Amino acid sequence: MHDDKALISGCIKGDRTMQRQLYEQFASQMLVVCMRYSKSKDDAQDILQEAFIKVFNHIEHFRQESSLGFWIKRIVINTALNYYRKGVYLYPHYDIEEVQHVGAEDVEISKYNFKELLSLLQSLPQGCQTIFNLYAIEGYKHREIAEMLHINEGTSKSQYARARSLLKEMITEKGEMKHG
Amino acid sequence: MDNQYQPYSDYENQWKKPFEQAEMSPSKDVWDKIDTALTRQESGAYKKRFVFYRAIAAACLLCLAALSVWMVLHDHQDTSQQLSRSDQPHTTQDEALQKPQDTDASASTSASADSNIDSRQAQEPAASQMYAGETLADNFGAPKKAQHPGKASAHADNKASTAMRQTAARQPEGDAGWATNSYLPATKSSNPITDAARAHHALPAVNSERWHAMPGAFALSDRDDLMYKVPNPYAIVIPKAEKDKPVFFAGLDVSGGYFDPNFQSVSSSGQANADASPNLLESGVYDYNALSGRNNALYAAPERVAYAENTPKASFSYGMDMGVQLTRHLSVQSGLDYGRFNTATSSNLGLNSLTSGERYPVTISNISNISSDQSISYTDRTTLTSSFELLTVPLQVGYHVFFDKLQLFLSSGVAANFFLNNRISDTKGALSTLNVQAGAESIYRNVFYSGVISGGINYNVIGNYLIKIAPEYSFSITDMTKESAFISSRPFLFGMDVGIIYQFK
Repeated sequence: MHDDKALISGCIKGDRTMQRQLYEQFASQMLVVCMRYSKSKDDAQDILQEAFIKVFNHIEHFRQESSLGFWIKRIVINTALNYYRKGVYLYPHYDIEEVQHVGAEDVEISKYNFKELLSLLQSLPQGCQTIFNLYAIEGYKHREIAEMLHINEGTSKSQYARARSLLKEMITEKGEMKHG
Repeated sequence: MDNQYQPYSDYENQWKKPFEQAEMSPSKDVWDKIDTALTRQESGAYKKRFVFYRAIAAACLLCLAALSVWMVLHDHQDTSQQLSRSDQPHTTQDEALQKPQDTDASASTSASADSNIDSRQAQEPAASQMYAGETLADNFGAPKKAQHPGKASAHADNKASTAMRQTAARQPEGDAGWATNSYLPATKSSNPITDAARAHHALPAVNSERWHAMPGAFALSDRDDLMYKVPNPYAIVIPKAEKDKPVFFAGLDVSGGYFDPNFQSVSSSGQANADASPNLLESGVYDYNALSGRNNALYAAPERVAYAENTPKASFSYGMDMGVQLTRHLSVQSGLDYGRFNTATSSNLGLNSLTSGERYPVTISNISNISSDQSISYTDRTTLTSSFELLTVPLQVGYHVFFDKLQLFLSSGVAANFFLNNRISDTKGALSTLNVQAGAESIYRNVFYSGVISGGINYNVIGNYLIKIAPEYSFSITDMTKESAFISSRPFLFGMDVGIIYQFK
């Protein structure tokens, strides 16, 4: 297995073997990222495909200021956002006061594995799902999310709050079903 | 403000942690599709390089064609000048006497010295004039002598005139043939070149260069008022008039090859663009007319694509050629060819006609034509074949080199391509066949122009019949698509042309 530098160098030259190695090294992790932003595995794979094509087309611009995995993940997320960008515009704007009210109660997450959590995320409306991912899992701030999605900050907050509320409902429901 | 969620940071961490090391294996198809897309991009990059090289090749061929045309015309002009000098069968005595006066004085001086007639020199014509007007006249009988008795006798010692006299003396007087054939020299029976050369050597005052430049000597016929030019031997040996006689030809040909419509985004970006999705109108309907195509892919909906019809498939054309071989080396050719040029693409969009109930494929050829009585729906991805039907009228100039029965030729020119139809069919037959024609609603122009370069061999199989085998490269010089279209197409074609030619000679 080649190290990152050799992989990058090979990919810049268009070496298909190197490109495949890079793909195999990161595809499994990145598919999970795609899954978090998409509604189905088919869609996630479409995003993954598109993202890796971008990776190979732009890998000469990778400055190695961050890890290769992080750089690829950024591309995957951007691709996913573009893929569903239209959906984000469609969701209603909630007031911040309402946001603060919604989801004030905590729920237990740690007992669920990532596949169960993934299933919950995919059940969210598109806008909520995107913003929840960006805020809760990627760690972006609402201001950054607002810039990324060309929405206002309040919308990001309201969508996040709504996502939490919906997740709480789903988790509670799921827990009740689990425990009889 | 962001800190309002700080109390829930544990909550976010609980979500983050399970995904940190999570992995899921994608299906094998994903890499295959990436591989295909990268290959397509590489071929696109190759195309760009190819465009550069083909432009250089075209420029070289055009230079070659221009050079050959110039050479042929220049050569033809020289021949015409020589022939025009030789083709003056009836030259009046006055003209004959005037012409030599334009010639070199040194020749006159030298010849005159030998003849010891210095005292008359001021009144006499120059040496060449003497040959033409007097010395030869002396040998052609009494009428001339009667006209110029003194001059004729005065030149009796002149060696050159003696030689000419001897030459002329072999010619029977009053030979009718002289009056009709201006190309014959002053002797009937012998070789015109050797005799003329002999006469040339007998002219001590006129060097070779001068001889070549001279209009030739003149001889009188049996008619007093006419003189005949003794042809320049350099002009005699080149029967160009016959060689350059145009030969018309016509033929039939078939061609098979590789056609690429070469669809490109009208934007400068060659990269895939995931932003290219239809505008969602306030009415909730997608505006497909605002689509843009990038990187050979058209994103008709966020997760659905219709690719440009850029994958070449076997294509063919057939037609007739006609032209004229203007000279041995130069030809001009035109014709009429019908071509069906096939490409493949894929799409997972179906176009539903609300009036007929039929479901058609969607490609970039027709996606901008979606009307109010049609709707888009998703289908399984299907492979589509697009057959571009074109009628082509080329005009080419060719340069030929001959080796016995074999000709090598290079030709280049332009062609007008008339867009007839694009027949889009689903290879599985699930979707109805769609025909996209040029017209007001179409993205295609009625006619577009291309440059044509070909080179190959013609072989004379029997009689006037030749077979032709010629690789041909054609590249559009105007778009096949309209300027207003959301995508541009500059097709190119590489094919092998095989045909039979009949020469009308």
